[in-house]
Amino acid sequence: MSEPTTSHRLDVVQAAVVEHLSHLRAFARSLTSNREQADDLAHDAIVRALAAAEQFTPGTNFKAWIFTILRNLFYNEGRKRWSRFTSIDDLAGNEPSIPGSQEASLEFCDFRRAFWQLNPDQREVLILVGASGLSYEDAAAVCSCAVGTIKSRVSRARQDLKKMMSDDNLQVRRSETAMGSEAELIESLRNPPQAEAARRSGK
Amino acid sequence: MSDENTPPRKRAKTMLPDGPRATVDRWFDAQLNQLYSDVVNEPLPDELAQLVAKLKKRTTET
Repeated sequence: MSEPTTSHRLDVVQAAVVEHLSHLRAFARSLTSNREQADDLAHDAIVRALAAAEQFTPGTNFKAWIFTILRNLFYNEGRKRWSRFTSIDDLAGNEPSIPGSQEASLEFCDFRRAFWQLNPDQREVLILVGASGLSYEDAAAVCSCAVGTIKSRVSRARQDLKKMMSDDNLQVRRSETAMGSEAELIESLRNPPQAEAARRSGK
Repeated sequence: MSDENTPPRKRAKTMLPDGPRATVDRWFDAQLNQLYSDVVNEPLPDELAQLVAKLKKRTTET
């Protein structure tokens, strides 16, 4: 069987980028916690992937391949370039409380708050395995670690989420904030809290 | 919509589902998928939309 040509690999990568771009953005968002920076990171990862198209083997897992490129870019070029906010304390008082009629969304809001309080490694594995659909093996390849490490991080992340959602921490923070509009609620669901803090502070 | 004069209503904290750990994990996965799919379903920003358009054009040309 003949080797795929460079042109063929580039075609495959181009088509796959289009197919997986939304997932790439979502993974980048989980790393940077910021919409604009995540999109910049995704853009740079695509440019890298196109330049390295010759290294991709058609028939292998493209999503894992480009996620690895994006992750390496994020860590190799320094988290600071991609993460403007590192402390959850920056967010205090910026999250709206929820009108009483939206009980169904409240559980999701609580989950969302807890999720952003996890450490980055935990957020990463939950997104890779729990949401993006990668296998433990592929997630381990993306993170350059053992499968067992991924499994234990996922387990620990779930335990921490459970703990955070079972104590009063989230409830106290919510009750301290002012009443927000429905639009603010929807916005808060779509944007990670750091991005919202950035928007409000005008940075 | 809420009345501006009504103070924020306190409610009970989120009750995680009872049952075996797998049930709670499934609940977490459902929330996580909602969080993830919100981003996946967002419209692309202009810069990325233009990039996709270019890639699609190149793919059809070859």
